[in-house]
Amino acid sequence: MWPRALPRCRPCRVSHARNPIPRVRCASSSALRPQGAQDVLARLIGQWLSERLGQQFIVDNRPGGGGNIGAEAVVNAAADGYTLLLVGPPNLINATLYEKLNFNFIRDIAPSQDWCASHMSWKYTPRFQPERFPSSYRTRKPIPARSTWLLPASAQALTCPASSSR
Amino acid sequence: MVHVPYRGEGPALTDLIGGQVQAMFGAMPSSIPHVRSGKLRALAVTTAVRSDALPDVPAIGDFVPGYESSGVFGLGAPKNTPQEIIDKLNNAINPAFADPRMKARFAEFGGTALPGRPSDFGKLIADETEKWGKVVRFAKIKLE
Repeated sequence: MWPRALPRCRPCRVSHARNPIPRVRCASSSALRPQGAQDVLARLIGQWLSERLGQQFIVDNRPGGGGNIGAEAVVNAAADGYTLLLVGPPNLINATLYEKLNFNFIRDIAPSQDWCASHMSWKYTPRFQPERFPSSYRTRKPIPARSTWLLPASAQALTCPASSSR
Repeated sequence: MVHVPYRGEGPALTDLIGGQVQAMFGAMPSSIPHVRSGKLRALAVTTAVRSDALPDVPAIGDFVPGYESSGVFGLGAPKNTPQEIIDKLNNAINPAFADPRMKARFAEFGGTALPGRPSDFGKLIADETEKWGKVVRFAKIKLE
């Protein structure tokens, strides 16, 4: 989608200096794969902006690298309002989790708008057997910090199912 | 419990619904439709209090005191984007929170709207980055 979107942007860029945002026609970049929360929200807000600004926003998913590939694409894009990043939890966690990134998220991304704090839900299939939970969970004791199954802090915070060991 | 990393939430949800994995931490926007259709059952929400979208589902904080983990979403632009453009985008998005159609969609997704200025989001990004940085360092979390 990205390469196809670029040529369409060129005529808009000509008029950019005169009337920047109303002429914007651009890609908002959702760093995660289709069907994920960020994709859903990118499409929702992209549609809203398209209607408000009279230019079509294109959702361009750049999956991979735990969200870093999409973020880096926006960091390296022209700072003209044509390319935006759908910021989500992985961006904020990756700043610490990844020791070597080609960008510094806080330094290189300018916040534009926060609009949605979403709960994460923990859900299970009907086949799931709660008695297989660690006993600390069932007895309401604090979860040990090193307990790896309770890991919303990983780069795959939104994407990591846990399977019960048998 | 075995941690199974996936390449994205979409394929992870597919496997969860298909029964290849048995439980998952997922974001509500992509999960709620499956919960409402009965394909998945919600065990708990990770916010400090229950969600209006799933009022019958307990918060993990109900039985793990102090537990809170919210996913915050927003829009960012490359650094050095002119303030005029940032402000124009901000002004274009904020009315979404007052729009009945958009409010209904946010409610469907279980989201809480956070209208505000770009500086508010900047502070939120800084705070959340620091919070998760502490978690990563304290728990010595490494990439797999």
